[in-house]
Amino acid sequence: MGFLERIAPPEIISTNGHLVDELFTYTTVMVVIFFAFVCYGLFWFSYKYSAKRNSKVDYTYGNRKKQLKATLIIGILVFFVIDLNITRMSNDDMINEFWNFPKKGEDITRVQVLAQQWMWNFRHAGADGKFNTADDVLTNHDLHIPVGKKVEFRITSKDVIHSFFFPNARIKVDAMPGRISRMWFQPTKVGTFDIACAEMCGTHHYMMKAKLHVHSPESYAAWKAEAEELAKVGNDTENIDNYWGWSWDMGDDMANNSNSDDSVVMKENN
Amino acid sequence: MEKISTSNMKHPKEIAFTILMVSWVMLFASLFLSYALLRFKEVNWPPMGFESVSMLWPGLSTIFILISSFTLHRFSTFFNLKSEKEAKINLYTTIVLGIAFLVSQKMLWSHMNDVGLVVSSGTFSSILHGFTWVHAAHIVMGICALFFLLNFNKYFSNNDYKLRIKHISQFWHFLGIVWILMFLTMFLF
Amino acid sequence: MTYAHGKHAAPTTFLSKYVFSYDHKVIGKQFLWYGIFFLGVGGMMALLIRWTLAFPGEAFPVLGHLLFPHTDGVVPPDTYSMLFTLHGTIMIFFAITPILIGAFGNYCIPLMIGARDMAFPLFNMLSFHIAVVSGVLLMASLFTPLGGAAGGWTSYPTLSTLVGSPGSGQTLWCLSIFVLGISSTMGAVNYITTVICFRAPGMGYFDMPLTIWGLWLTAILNAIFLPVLGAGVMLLTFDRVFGTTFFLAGAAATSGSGDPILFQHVFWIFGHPEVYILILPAWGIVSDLLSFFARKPAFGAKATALSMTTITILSTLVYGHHMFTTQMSPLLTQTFMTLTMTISIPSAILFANWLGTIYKGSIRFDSPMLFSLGVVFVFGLGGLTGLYLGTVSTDLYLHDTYFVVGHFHYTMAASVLLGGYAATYFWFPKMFGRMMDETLAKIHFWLTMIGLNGVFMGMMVVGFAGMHRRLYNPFVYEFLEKLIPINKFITYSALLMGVGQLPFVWNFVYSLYKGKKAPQNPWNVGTLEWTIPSPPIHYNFEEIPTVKCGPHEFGNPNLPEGKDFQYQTEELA
Repeated sequence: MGFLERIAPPEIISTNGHLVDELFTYTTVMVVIFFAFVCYGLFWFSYKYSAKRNSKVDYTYGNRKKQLKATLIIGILVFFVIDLNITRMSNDDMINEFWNFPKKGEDITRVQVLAQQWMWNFRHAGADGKFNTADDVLTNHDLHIPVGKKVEFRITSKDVIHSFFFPNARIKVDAMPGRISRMWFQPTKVGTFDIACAEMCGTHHYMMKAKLHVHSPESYAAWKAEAEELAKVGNDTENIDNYWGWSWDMGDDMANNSNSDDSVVMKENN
Repeated sequence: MEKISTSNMKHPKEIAFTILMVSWVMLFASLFLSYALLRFKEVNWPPMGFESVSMLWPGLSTIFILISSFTLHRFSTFFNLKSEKEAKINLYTTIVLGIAFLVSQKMLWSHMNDVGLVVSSGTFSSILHGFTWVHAAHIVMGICALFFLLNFNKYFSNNDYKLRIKHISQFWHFLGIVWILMFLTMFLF
Repeated sequence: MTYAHGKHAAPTTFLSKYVFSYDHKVIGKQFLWYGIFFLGVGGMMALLIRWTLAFPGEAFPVLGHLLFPHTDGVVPPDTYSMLFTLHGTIMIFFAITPILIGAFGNYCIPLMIGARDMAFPLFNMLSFHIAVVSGVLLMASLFTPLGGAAGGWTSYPTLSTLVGSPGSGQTLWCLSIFVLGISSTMGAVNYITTVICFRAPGMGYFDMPLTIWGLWLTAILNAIFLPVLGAGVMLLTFDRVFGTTFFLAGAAATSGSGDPILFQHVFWIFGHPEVYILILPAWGIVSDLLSFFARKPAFGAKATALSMTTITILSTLVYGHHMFTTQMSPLLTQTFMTLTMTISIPSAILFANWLGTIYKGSIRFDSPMLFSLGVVFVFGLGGLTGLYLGTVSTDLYLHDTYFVVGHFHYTMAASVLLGGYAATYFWFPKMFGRMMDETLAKIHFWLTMIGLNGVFMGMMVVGFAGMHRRLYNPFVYEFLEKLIPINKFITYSALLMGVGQLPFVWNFVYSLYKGKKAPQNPWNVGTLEWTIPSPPIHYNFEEIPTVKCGPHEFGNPNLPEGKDFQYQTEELA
């Protein structure tokens, strides 16, 4: 494996993941140019003006108008050329893509996620299309979604803070107890990928991984049908612990703003 | 410390005390910030199932600390006039009122426990308990500082001592203001 | 400017001279030893961490069997969590803070502003003794039944509450930080007052060396923001000990819920200024040393001081960029992103001034200068990589990966470490009256420089490849398996860096006893501490000096032949 291949980030499987890589590359180019100037000064001046080669120093405080203007211009150039540019690009990406959540009623895949030490739980609505009912499809460690369709996650945590991380989609969001956070992306590739927990969550943090299975539409339908059948017979309706979900719309009010009410998860249990 | 040039600069102790006060303001400001964030997160305050605390003990505490600030102010006035007897009465009253404040806080805590607002029963009682603890701990520090003033009659013309009185008074008034803010935001409204 | 200490007889007994000393020079040295001790402990922890990452499941050589007999010398996962938690805590609060702020702050402030001691010597002594108590509390937490704190140095609830870490280790950690906060606040009050009141006659704020500017701004940030951390860990302690629910939510909060994110707000309101608390002294020292060894006045010294002040103010407004992944409202996120970017204006001015200082100078490459140039290099990298993390969309990918680890090590560890070494080599002759060996110092510099760039650059590389932090064994993830060789490279670099510190330790200890006797002014520098003998006498100055010119008077063409600098006590030529 070549070096560049080795240090490459994981392959992109979402429609907007490349935006992150592009912004990263753009920033890198800017950083390299600016750092080249710093290094030029640092190494060339160190060589040229070492005591061996230059004994006569230029006696200046650097507070003449011209010098002050020059420093100020450097500062402001950096701000406008590098910073505001990447801020604008990042802001556009966020508003057009990452914060542009699917609208209500749009045909998307919806998944509720419950993080706990040290496991990911996933909940798909069953045949009735409603969450937190007896026919929900519950999985853990494995997330199944169809390719080519937006998928939105509503995420919360049972105990400590976790972070729901798709390296291949270049996105993560924290899973926080008492809050519902959300995330969406649109998978473009069929295959099996890694899901990670990115926030320190205890001793076995490193074991808290799950698999993302992106199916073709047919294979997803087949999986879903089978899983729903299994859920009908397999779900233990007496077991209160299975009802950790919430009605999807409840998350609407809560997602993406800091107003959460008492312990979402527990409320459904009562 | 010898003075080596004359100007109207402040005494180092005054500057140091100002900085210390900034630190204390930041400490209590962080507590109030936490309180604000926790409170505005809730739809109802106090949250469902909790009743507001009776105003008796917090009200008494407020009265005690208001009068104590006043008597402490009187003490420094009489100290500057060098009238020993009046100064003494006011200082002792301040200390007694400070202790009375602590007693009323203790009664407040027992009262809260009696009505079911124990420490571990949710954010509402966490805030009431936690913040009054922190404040009461500072009142204890304040009372200890007041004890350092007991032998004031030996120092009527000592400038350093005047600074000490000034700073302890500032600290005490500051705690009074913090309590008033706590009273207004946590018990009254 | 107004006050000076009276003189007292020098202490004679061992206790009054070395333990309960009021003398700022002794307290500075006490902090230096304290900091170096913890630097060693934290460094060993770093090596254990690196070993685990490069060779998962293999016994740590030599020490492993001694430390972890139950697992045949392999670092167990729970111990690994404690290691990185304590590595962070120790390096930030118990190594960098005591060395740069405690040691050089105490030692340099009175000497460089022409004072006989700190404003409140008793306070100063207590500040060190309280710091010792705090260190003891932290080390004690390691020996509690369930082990030390293991929630990361940020100790986010609910992991750091009883939900995630039972046992008294985390409680002791909270207490230790709280106590250390008291110690540092006392120190900060002292520094600020000393600088305001005890500057030698004639010394205006802009006649102070930039080192003092850095230390002074640091002290101001400390006094304002440490209480915020204090409040945070206090509430956390209440949650742990008394059962309050400030930070509990979810299934753990059975009656009404608090908010774990509240702690993050409080923590980072303190935490972001803390980053500048650590770096400001290093900036000040570097700004001075570049001028001293380029034999040229500091370029735009006033602009440098004002840039540092601007950064100090801005640092209080940008903390939200640590919390982008918690999904704050878009408006807040955009605000914090834009504010974060403004920091680059004063930073760019700093860089322009540093390079302007060495431009057309006559540079002497003594070891303090090498380390200062090193700081410019590594801080350039560290500061610029911050851009990726200040922009939201890239941060959502890079947050909590090794890219972040590499970035903050470049700014907080590499720059501050190199700055600390520059200061040590520079002021060692004044502190101990002996010179350090230049050859060993240069070996030390190059080994450290190569090692640390290998480590931190490698971290950024694996971070971009997606490796997230705080993993005991990252290679349970398939997409990270290909990074094993790079992780090995990082570990070898870390070992090289560790080995590179041995010449320093030898040099330090040897020079302490056998080094060449230092002259009064070995570097030919004009600031006030070089106008008195090395080491300085008790109470520093026989006569309080009068300052007549700035600290960076080099290469003035009006100076007599054969002299290229002048003391601050001399009239400007």
